Amino acid sequence: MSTSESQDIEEATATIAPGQPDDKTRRYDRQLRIWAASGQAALEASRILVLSSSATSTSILKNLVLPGIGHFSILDSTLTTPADAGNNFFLNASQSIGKPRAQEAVPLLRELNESVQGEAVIQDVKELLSTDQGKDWLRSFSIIIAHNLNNDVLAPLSTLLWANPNGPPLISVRSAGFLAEFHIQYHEHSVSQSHSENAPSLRITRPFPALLEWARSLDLQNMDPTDHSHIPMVVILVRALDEWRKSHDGSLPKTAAEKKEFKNSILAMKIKLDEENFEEAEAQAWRVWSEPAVPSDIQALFSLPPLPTSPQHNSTFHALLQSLSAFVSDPSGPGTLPISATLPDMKSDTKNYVRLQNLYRAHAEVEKTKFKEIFAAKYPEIAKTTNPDEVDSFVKNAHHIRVLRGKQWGALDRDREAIVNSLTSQPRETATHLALSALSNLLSRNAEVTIDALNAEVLSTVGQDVDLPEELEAAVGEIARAPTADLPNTAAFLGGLVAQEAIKVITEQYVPLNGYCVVDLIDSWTGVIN
Amino acid sequence: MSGRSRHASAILGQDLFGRLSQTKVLLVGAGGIGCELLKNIVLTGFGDITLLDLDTIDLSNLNRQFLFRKKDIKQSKAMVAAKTASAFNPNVKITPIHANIKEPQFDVSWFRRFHLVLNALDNLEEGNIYGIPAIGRLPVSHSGVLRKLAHGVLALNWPSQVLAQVGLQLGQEVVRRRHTSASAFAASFPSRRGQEPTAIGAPLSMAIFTYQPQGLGLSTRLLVYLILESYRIWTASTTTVQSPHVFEKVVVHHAYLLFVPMRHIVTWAMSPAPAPPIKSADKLWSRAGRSLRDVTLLPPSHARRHVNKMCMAANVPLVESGTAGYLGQVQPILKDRAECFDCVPKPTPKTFPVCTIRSTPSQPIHCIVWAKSYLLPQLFGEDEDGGELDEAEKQGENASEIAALRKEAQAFKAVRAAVRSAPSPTASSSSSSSAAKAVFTKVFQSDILNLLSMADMWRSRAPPTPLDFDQIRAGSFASPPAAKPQPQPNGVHAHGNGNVDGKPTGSSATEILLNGAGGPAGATGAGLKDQRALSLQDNLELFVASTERLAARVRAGEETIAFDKDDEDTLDFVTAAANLRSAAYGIPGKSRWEVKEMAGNIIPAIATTNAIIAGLIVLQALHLLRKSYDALRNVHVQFKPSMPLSAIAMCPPNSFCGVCRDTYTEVLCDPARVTLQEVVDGILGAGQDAEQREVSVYEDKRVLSDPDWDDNNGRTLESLNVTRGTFLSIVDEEGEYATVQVAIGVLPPNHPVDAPALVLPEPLPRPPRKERPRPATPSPPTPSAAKKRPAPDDIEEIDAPPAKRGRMGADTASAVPFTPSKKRRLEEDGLIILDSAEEKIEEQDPDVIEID
Repeated sequence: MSTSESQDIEEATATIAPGQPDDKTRRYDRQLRIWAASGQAALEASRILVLSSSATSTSILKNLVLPGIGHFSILDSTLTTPADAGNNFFLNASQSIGKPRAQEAVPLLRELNESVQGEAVIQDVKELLSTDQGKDWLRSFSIIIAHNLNNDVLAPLSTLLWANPNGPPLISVRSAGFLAEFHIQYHEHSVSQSHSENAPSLRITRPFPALLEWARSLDLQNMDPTDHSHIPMVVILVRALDEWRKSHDGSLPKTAAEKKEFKNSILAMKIKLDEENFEEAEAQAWRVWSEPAVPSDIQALFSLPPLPTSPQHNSTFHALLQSLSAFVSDPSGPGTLPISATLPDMKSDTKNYVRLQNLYRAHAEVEKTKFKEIFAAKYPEIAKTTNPDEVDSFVKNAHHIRVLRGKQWGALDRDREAIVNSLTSQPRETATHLALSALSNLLSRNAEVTIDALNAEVLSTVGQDVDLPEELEAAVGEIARAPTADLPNTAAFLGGLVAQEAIKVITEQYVPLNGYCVVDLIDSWTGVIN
Repeated sequence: MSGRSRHASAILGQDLFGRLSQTKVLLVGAGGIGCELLKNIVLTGFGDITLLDLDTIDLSNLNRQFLFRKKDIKQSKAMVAAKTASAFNPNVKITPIHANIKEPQFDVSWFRRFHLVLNALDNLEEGNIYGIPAIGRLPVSHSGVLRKLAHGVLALNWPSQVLAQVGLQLGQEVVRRRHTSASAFAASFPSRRGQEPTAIGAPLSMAIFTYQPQGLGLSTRLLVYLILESYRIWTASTTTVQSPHVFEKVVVHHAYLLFVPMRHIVTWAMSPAPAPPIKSADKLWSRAGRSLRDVTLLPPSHARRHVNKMCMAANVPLVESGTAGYLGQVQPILKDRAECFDCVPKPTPKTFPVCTIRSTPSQPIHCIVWAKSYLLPQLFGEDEDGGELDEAEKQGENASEIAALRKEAQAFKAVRAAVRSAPSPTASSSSSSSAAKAVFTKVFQSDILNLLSMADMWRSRAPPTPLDFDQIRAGSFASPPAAKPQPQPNGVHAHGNGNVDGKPTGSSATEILLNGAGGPAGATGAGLKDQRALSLQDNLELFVASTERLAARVRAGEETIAFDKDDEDTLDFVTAAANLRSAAYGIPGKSRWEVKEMAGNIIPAIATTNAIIAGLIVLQALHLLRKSYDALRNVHVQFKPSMPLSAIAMCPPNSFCGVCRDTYTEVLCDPARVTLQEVVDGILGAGQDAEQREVSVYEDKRVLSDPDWDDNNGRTLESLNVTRGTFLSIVDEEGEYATVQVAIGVLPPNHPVDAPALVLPEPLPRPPRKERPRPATPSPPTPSAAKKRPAPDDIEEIDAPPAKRGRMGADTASAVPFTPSKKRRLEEDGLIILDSAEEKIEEQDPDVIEID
């Protein structure tokens, strides 16, 4: 599928400026610099279902069609009202009134990007949920996004998708005027490219042989002063620590006094007052006292309890994770995560920096090979079918992998203790969430939305004896004012925010949020409750 | 009507919603944020929208600028966006303007017509990032740090308007003495030679700020002289920092020397934590670096600052915005109530010392800047007439250096001519190919050989290797070690394919080169073919092919070609030239994909962030229209999964802001018939007040008059180039009153011909008295003319040898606003301009160090 589609894209965009290469790259240039070819390929392979074609839904879809998802379906059986025509940019204004919304919106959305396929399905989700065929169809998507779906339908849908760990994630969005929330439902989401800004360990306390050899070979007293001022700080630290260990029974500086002494020993190596590389080494000395073999969050992943049924799409990731654990505990290995080939910038000259870079690169290659051997021995079947790029990327990002465990939509509301605790710790977010839940319950029953009805609904969720925070009053008042208003700016904002999270989930890059994201655009804040 | 606007009117309230249709809004920019924003304000019910954008549509816009389709490429963004959005709601009036917001017709009166301005400019004026920065106004509020750092301030080359600010903030006398030379100036300071620093006690410190666009172009003479006097000296410039180890031997003389760029000082001063005692430049760097990272996503482009100033002058609320990848920011701006764009200093673009670019590159970016900002303009930019060198010679600069530069310019003339000469019909390809070879041989062989002849330069760094055209083509060239490309699995490069079938092949050959002849490079299908590493031969062929294409364009009538990241020919040229230079210097090469990002200063941009930001802009705009100022927020879209938005309450304006704390007014006049004096006297109410204030008058950074210099007072505004859309800044000489900014507008159409050609504002502006900063504790340096210091000749010899200085060519000239007359003016004003802006202190220059 991806092959034929990518050719379509080439053909579709190749006519603009004949002879210029790579029109697809040019079209997606600014986003490829964020999620790279692997992220783009994941997007292009995705099939997305959106329930409803409200202004918010089409805004979300717009932001998914533009970057180039593979396919989208809109499931919506309603007809366009004048209010829709006034606030939804992806309808043919007044000409669309009275026609099926989905059917009107799909061609306008497809116009945004010719390489994206799209279809309108004029059906009610309730019907689909009542047949096996319908259920299978719903489960066939990569991700499902629902906007303002009432709880009486959303509940069975979320249960259906939750029941099967291989079912698609569900993003349920609710908005009313300036207030909104959305929840991402997934059992488990693994991220191997979190794009974390934290630098991986340079492994100064456990130097690999070539690095240690370099550090030990330096004749600091007699070397050329220029060379002396270009020794990279990594090498200085390794050298200083090596000498420290010799005189301290192999232990690291621990107490404040020892740390100070260690720092002074670095500065004492200077042969001139202003050697910036030594000053940098002193400033980076913290690397020596806080360099765990494996960062605690990664260590925690090694002992993550397995899910009752593990999602298939994560099986490779878990095999890699267990191989990583085996790598760390392998007696012939370094006892740490595989070393990263990327170095931070540091004071040095090109020659020394490149030398250091090559040492790290070569050693990273050695350890990666070792990792691959372990992986192939432990999981021969999986290793055979896994794309080598995926393994490379996993090893490269080993310091930053993440595993998120999610909850079913609505689980929070059913857990009275959790919701009451949340009311205390995050009153503003929780109150707004409760008010929006109450709204959905009322709308499910076709009940009139009043302040009193909303308050009663909230109390039935949290319990009659709970003190409600004053933030609830504001939220309930705002919702009662315009319970069904799909305001264009809220729609635009949510369109961006929800699509952003959907892209993170689809590309498995960056860390998506976990739980309910609550939005108040009157005061311009967002918060996450879980 | 009621049906389609039901949601909006219900939620906004009848009153506000009713007003929206009458609200005139100016939307600046129809790009990523602009498209989203236009859609939002049309849907919200704004009825009268003016949309202005300078740009045309490019293919790379289509991943987020959703009002455009492929068929619209190369058309005006403003026009197409207006058309697409109008179709949605015929009741909305959208006026598209395809123009630059800085054009004179968009003057203060024009801005005043709007109730609201929304800024949705592209994130950066690309191309200005690496290379020569334009000089901006001195950022505000470095008073704290100056107080901490220095007992005195010596400011070189700063316009006195700016100096006045510095002085006032310090509560100290800025050293401004009238001397004609550096040595005389230096002589007015007490000598500390021979004293140990400890004997000096609390050392008298001196902050030196140079106002020069080219990094630390501080006068060698004065700097070294003062160091010898054992002053503690901090030097700062607006831009880059030169490595302190230039002065390593100087440091032994117990001078405490710290190089800090102005922007870091400013950031440092702004940071809330108390500054610790300075231990080393490094510490300050890391502190400044940390706070800099959080500063802003709204880079200080000219257009942003211009719109901000116009909104301050016209007193129109403004919502400013910007995005970069997943990050974004929205900032509402309202004069006198909230910070303006210039209230908080912004990090300035990164620049590099000229010599690093011209002679001693050590990183890929140095080579890219060289290819983009030096080589490409030399070959395909405007022809230089050598006037700059003539001028330099007149001013008595080093003759042998000028001769060397002349020689270089001559050599470039020859290759310029070669690429422009029409190829003969029989040997079309070989002729232009030989032109490309001539260029190659000059810049990658002869010039490098020439540099190699200066043995001093390579004493402490690896010398470059000259490249040989024929050997590389034949595959027999031995490249320097670091330049070897990474082994490529399918590195089928089309060596020798430059002339397929004997005709100039242009980009098809390039495509083969970049993509490999064996078909699509990646298995991903995402087509990232230009991420392939290029071999030396690849780069040579790409250089030849792109030079040929550019040469063909010039021959076909294009007068000049400047770098544009979306112009494949220039991108190929810069990629190839930068990689070849990297190869010569043993620097690793970069793929075309990477070069595009680095040279084009590409900021990732995605639809989602723009959508979020555009939604937030309208919400802030509604707060402004509703005058619910307490609800205004400075909103950031951030990286944290637990908190996607952070909203910060608005800060009051910075009381030292050089933009929004000024008093704005407007005169309507015929600049051809009104003199400078008439305007200034009129605004100051001369003859009415008991005392006449002493003022200096500026237009932007040009000095037009000051109390001791009235040559221009009788000249017309037009003759001084002060016309519609510009501002006259009237700066109080004593610094007691706020600066008056006089916007120049045109006379109304019905103005009687015989009436005076100047209409003053009614009432006249009354600038408030400025805040007095608390007096500083340390006393300023005591001038002592009694001790005669050595004559200038004594220190003349320490100047850097000529061969190592470089010129940036036309770029530098245009970036330096100091005209000769201005220079003279400033010197007479007591500001000492010791050297040309280009003069550099060479890194690791042995001659500089030997002072004893």
